Amino acid sequence: MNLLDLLILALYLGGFFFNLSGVIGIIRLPDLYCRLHASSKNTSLGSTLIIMGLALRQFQMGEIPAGIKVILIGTFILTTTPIGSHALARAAYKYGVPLWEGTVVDQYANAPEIKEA
Amino acid sequence: MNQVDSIGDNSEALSPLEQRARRLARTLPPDLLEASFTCPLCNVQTPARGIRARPLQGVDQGQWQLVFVCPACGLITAFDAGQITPEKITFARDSQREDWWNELRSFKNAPRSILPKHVHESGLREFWGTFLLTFVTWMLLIGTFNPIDVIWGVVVSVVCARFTFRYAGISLPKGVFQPARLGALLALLGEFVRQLVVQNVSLSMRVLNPNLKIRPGIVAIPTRLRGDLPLTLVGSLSTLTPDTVVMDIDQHRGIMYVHWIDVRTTDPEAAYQLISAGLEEKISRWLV
Repeated sequence: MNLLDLLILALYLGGFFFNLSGVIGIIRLPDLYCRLHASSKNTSLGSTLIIMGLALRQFQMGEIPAGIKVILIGTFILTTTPIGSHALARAAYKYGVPLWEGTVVDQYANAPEIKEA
Repeated sequence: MNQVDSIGDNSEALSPLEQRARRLARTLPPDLLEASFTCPLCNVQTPARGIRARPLQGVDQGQWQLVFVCPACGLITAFDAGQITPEKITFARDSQREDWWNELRSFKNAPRSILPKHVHESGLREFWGTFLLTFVTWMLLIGTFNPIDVIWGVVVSVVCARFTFRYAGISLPKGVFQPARLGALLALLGEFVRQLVVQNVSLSMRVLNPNLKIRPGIVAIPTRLRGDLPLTLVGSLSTLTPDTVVMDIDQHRGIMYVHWIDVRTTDPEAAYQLISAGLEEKISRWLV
């Protein structure tokens, strides 16, 4: 068990921790908008860590193309997750999904009309 | 509501057809302004706002639409001008002005020159850019240089690029990858990774804390960036990094509406300093 193995193991464990806390957050947080935080941030970092671990493992075994593929998948996750959560949040608000009653402030409610670009 | 403007401005050098459209939009009969088109979302009566040109996908033409904007929820409802019927919109009074309807219906196709810009700005350059991106991705995913795979890659990339190049509106400004700018790009990446880790740990602590200490809210913060690429970058990065999810961006006024899970201040300038000042500074140093 050398240093690289330990690093890979640490990446796996970190990814597991963040994915787990993302799932717990989805269950515990009170409304859709807060749950989006857990589902977009925590799970994307968790998956990215696991993917980095996988890529290192592939490089360690000498499978360079497989490692590149895995890194590519990680890039896709990191670029598409924020766009998806942005679209979900906006669509939910426009549709009228209510905010949690403990919400402190809503400055979007009386926002001036936004012109289409 | 007597002053009705045609949606979509930029008024220099109007073509005759567009002038006609604006005249029509300004002379919407008073009955129509009193018309009760009920918003399907919130059942509020919405007045007509005017007519606009909408680009059609895949062809270089567009269509005229009569547009209603709900005052309560902002929902935009548009009817194609060529097919609209009086039954779709109920009038307060009985007069249905046949000639006005006929004039509205005579608007069928909007010519290329008055469509929104992104439709005809994308051309061959965007097509080959999209093709190249798709092809490189394909080759990385396949990982071999087998002739059959390469040929399939070309076919798939051409098909993908044909259908999506019109939306590839983002182009990098010149000199972004010069050595002098690379330092700024690296600084942006470093800041991104640092914030990603720090904020994820803080969110995890928040979620796993038995008391669930959250103060969620939606705040408006100013943004000093302009243009598609910088705004896309700051929106995506600040969705991933600080305690925020971006909900909407008002490009004209420079406002970003974000859902903040731990509202510490509602003052726009202070919130800007807390949320996006660091990222924006690094992005503008790289791109501008």
